[in-house]
Amino acid sequence: MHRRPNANELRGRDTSQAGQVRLTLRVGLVSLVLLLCATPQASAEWQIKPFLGVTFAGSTTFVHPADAVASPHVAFGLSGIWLGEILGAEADVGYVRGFFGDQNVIVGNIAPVVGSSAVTLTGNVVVALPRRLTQYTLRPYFVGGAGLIRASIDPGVGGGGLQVASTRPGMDLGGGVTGFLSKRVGLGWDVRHFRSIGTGEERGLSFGPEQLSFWRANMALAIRY
Amino acid sequence: MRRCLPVLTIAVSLCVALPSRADDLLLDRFRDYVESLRTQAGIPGLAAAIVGNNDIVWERGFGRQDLERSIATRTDTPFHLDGLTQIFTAAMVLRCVEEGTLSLDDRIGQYKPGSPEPDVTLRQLLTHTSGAADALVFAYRPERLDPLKAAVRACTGDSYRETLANLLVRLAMTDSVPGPDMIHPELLTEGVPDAAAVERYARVLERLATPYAVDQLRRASPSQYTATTITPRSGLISTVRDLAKFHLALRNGILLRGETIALAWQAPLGRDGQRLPHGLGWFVQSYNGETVVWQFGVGETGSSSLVMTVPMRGLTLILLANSTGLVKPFPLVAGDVTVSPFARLFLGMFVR
Repeated sequence: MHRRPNANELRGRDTSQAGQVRLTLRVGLVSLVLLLCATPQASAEWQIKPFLGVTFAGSTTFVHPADAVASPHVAFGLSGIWLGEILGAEADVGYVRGFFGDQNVIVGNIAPVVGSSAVTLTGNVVVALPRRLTQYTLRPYFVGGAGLIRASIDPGVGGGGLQVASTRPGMDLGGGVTGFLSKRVGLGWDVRHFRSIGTGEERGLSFGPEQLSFWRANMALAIRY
Repeated sequence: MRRCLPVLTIAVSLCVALPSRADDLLLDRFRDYVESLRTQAGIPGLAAAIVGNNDIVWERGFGRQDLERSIATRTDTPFHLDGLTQIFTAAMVLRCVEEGTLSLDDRIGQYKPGSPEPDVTLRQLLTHTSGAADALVFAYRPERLDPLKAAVRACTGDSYRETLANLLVRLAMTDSVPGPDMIHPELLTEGVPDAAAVERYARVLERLATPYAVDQLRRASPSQYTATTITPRSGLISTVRDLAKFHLALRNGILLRGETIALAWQAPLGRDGQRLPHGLGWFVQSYNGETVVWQFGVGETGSSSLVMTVPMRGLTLILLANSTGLVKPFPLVAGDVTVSPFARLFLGMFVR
C-alpha cells in the first residue's frame, strides 16, 4: 500500500535519522572513553596534527550538477590524538571546500554550483606499532571510526530547488605514518576512506538514497605533548 | 514633444524586451541544469518541453536517441510512454462520462464480468483506490486499469485501440502510435488499421528511440522495450511535441470540459480525511500552496517519462527518456513528485 506520508510519519522519519546520528555519536564517545580508561597512562602521549591534503575518487548519489566530486580537492583540518603504547583514540575534523564544485566549474554556459563543501567529524580508534620499536623511525598506524559527514551544495539563483544541506552518519578507515624530527615536532602522512553509512533519505536531492564517499590523503604537522 | 518620442519608444521597447530576456536566461539555465541531471542520471537520450497556455514555450533534445549510430535526440523523437498511457485512458473515459455514456460510479463488472475486481468503480480504478467510499485506500497498481478497455468499447463502440487511434488523429498527434504492434495488422485482434495508417506508424517507429539499460557506472547497453502492445496503462508511443498538443487540447477545453478537468485533478479523501495522492488519471499534490498534477511512466529497462502541470501557472513540463533514469531511482509511486530532482528543479525555478 502506498500513500503520502503524513506529518507524524515525516516527523518520525526525522526522529529516526536524528536517532541514527545520535547513536553514531554515542558509539564514538563510548569507544573514546573506554580507550582512555584501558590504556596505561605511563607511555601515553598527546598529538595535535593540523593537516593539509587532497580528496580523490569521490562518489555520491547527491545531485551535483557540476560533476566535480571525483576530481581532486584541497582538504584541511585538525586531528587530536591520544596514543598509548599501541592503542589510541583520535578526533578528526576535515573540511573540503568546493567538493561538489564552485563558481569556477562551468557546465554548458553556467556555473551550476556557486559553492559547496564536505565536512567530516569522526572519532577514531588508532592501532599503532609499539612506540619502543619505532622510537627513531616512522611509526605506522591504522585508524578507523565513525562520526558525521555534512554535504552542502549551493546551486545559486535558478537551481534553488536543488540546494543540499545534509548531515549523515559516516565512517572512516585508513592508515598512515608519523615521524618526529625532535621531541615535540614531527610530520605525518595519512590516507583514509570516508563514507556515509545507513539508509540515506530520498528527498529529490539525490539519485537513490543520499550517499557520499571519498578518499583523503594528507600531510600533517605533528606536535607532541 | 518630438524629442521625447524616441526616448519613450526606447523605454517601452525595453520594458517589453527585458522580461523576455529574463525568461530566456531562466530557460537557458533550466536547459543547462537538465543536461547536468541527465548526465548524472546516465540517461542516453532525453527530450523535454515546457508547454504554456497556448503553445510550446521551450523544447530541447538532449543526448543521443541512438548511441551506436550517434543520432541526436530531437523533440520529435518518439519514445515509449509506459504509464503515461493512462492519462489518455483517463481522458477517454472522462469524455464518455461527459457524454453520459459512462458514469464514474459504474462498476467495472458491468462492462467486463470476468474482471478480477468486478465491484470496483471506474472512479476507483482511475484514482488507484479501493474500499468503501468513506474509507478509500490508495495503492498504485496500473495493471488494475486493464479492464477499462471494455468500458471504453461499451462507450464508443470501437475497441480501446481504435478509440485511442481516433483521438490521436483528432489531436493531430501524427508522431504517436497506439501500440508498437500497430505495424503488424495480422497480429492485431482489435482495430486493424488501414494500409496508409500502417505505413505512417511504421515511419514513426523507424525513428523510435533505442532503449538502453544503464548500470551504476552510467554505462549504457542496448535493451528491449517492455510494452509489446497497447493497454490502458502502457504501450502508447509519442513525442514531447505530440504530448504538448494533448496538453494544449486539455487546457483549452478541446478534449474535456473545464469542470471535468477540475474533477479529475482533485484527489479523493482517504479514511483519515487526508487527500489521497491520485486524482482521475493524474497524481495531484500541493507544492508551495499550488496544485501540481503529474504522472510518470517507466519500462522495466529502457524507457521512462514524466509529465507535470502547474495549472495556476499554465505550465506543463514533459520529459521523455530512453532509459529508466527519469523515474526508477525515485520512489514516485508514493505520490510525491518532489523526490525527483528533475521535478524539483522545474518547481524550484518556475513555481517560486
